[in-house]
Amino acid sequence: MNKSKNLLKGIIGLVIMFSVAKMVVVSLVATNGIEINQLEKQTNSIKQENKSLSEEISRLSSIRRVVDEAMKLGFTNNSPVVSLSQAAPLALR
Amino acid sequence: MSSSRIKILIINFFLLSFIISVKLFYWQIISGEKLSAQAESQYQSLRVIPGSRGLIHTSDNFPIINNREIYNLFINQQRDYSLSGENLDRLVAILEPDETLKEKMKIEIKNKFENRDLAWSYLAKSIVKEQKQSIENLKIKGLDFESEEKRDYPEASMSAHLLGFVGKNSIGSNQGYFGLEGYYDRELRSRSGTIEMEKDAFGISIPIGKTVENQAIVGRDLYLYLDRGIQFMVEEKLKLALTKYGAKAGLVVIIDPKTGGLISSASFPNYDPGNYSSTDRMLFPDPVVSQTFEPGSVFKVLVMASALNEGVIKVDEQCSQCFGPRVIGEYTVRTWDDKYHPNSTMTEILQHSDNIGMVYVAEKLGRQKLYRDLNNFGIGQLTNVDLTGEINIPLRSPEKWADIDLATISFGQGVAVTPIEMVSAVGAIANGGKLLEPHAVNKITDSEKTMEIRPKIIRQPITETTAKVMTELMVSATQYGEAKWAAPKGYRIAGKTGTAQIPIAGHYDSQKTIASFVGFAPADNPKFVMLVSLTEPTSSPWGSETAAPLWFDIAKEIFKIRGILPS
Repeated sequence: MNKSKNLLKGIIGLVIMFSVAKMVVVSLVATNGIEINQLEKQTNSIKQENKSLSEEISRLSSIRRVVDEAMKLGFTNNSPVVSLSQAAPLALR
Repeated sequence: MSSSRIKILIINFFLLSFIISVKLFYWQIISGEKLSAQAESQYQSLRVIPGSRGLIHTSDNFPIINNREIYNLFINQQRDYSLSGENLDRLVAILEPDETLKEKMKIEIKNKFENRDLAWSYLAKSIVKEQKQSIENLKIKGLDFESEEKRDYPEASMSAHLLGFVGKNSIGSNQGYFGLEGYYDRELRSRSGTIEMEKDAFGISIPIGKTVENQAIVGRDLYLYLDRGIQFMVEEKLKLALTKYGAKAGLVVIIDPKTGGLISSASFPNYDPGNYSSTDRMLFPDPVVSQTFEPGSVFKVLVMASALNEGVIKVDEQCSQCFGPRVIGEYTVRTWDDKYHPNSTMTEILQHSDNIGMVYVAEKLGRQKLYRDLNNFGIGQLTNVDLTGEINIPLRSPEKWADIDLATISFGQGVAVTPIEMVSAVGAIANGGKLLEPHAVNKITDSEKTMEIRPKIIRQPITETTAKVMTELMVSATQYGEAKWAAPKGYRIAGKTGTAQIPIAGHYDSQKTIASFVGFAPADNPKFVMLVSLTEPTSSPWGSETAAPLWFDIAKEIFKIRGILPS
């Protein structure tokens, strides 16, 4: 009789303990929502920034822009290639 | 307590229980769905995750078509109905750079702000990030933004015809039109995803709550054979040539003979794909695939190659009919310069671009074989290039050819081809006799895999030996033909000039021509095949004086860009 009473008390104690533990975990995790929200906002903001920078890189490395900037810096069109003929004749004596 | 009181208590207890049960039944069963939905709308949040349309890259992995975020500005019900004059001026200054249109915009915006029946309305669309930030800094109550993605073109209108553009379809969704955007619309298209999450009273998401996520599908990216440096150079040179030669239009198409890859494709007049809505829609189709022309003498290389391949003529065979004009039925066929070269060999026929010589070759070949061989070269058929809008005009059945048709086809009149057909056919000569399917796209990628599009051999219209012989004939035509003065020294170029009259209303215009040059280089190990075509050049009608110099000019630059040394 005592044994079964003790067993029952033990089970009830375990149930109460697990319930309390669950409540603690749930409340800890549930309040992470704020952090998660902030992290999501940061992630989105960084992704946006990435995208803007990638657009900027594309714009700055367009050939038309590179040519225009090169002209401003004093570069000119490359000169025509001059083909050299066969080996120059050598005087042996 | 008396038994009657106990009874009354019990009855009241059961009555109360019954009432509660009925109420519970009403709330949970009858109104359950409605209340559930209402509750969900309070604690459930639905966020749309936009998917991005796929990008298009050139061969150096540069995104020639990118995506850019733009914003639409709107007013909502939280606005202050009387917008101050100062704020209105500042807002209009950000939105409208054109002074002449500022007053009109001010009136429109003021009216929308003051209209109390208007709960929501757009004020401006397609605003860029910098404008959005400036407007946000004004801190005007009731303004908000919705973002959307728009195509961005870092190289402006470069290869506009090849790329196409993105517009809206009948249900307002993005859809690609023309060029690659049209052909690969399904691959490029994205699909938005959603995340459904539970949120608390402050709108913060609850991590342990129910979450349902539908992943956004990002469009696949395309990687092209297009060489950005060569494309830029080609467009610059073509633009100058149109002015120099007074031509109405022009195009250049360059393919890699080993892969069929489209290295460059330029045509003018063109348009700005970022501003297609204010463009004449007649400019949208790509002339390289969507327009045909009578090729004229450039076509002779295909007829000659066919005759050599069939063994009906030999290279050193002499033309017995090349002493003067040929009368065929009621028509007289002459050479382009009315000069005649008796006993010309096949090499000389091409060098002189001799129409009489070509009639001789075609008659030796016969109409059945000529028809079959031209079909083998892909003439009159779709090349299946991966661009929207390709057309073809099938060759008429040889049974319907009159004698004069056999003659005119031999020098490229009375037959219509697209530029891509012509350059692909000549590409077969450059590629040891193998005809390849032309392609703009090299590979398609997404987050999981890469799909390479391998070069595809359609058929072999001529043997490798015939291809080599034909190459030498074309080298000779370039070195000793009418365009020899413009050819770059030190390089063996296999090519052919062409000057075709333009058919108008059943006859040929005596003044207007399409001047062309087609060829490949270096002849011994071709790195590119190129067709240049100028429509109605006014400085000179001849291909040898307009299209050929342009071809050689572009070729010299390609030699430099690709590091191709002289022979």
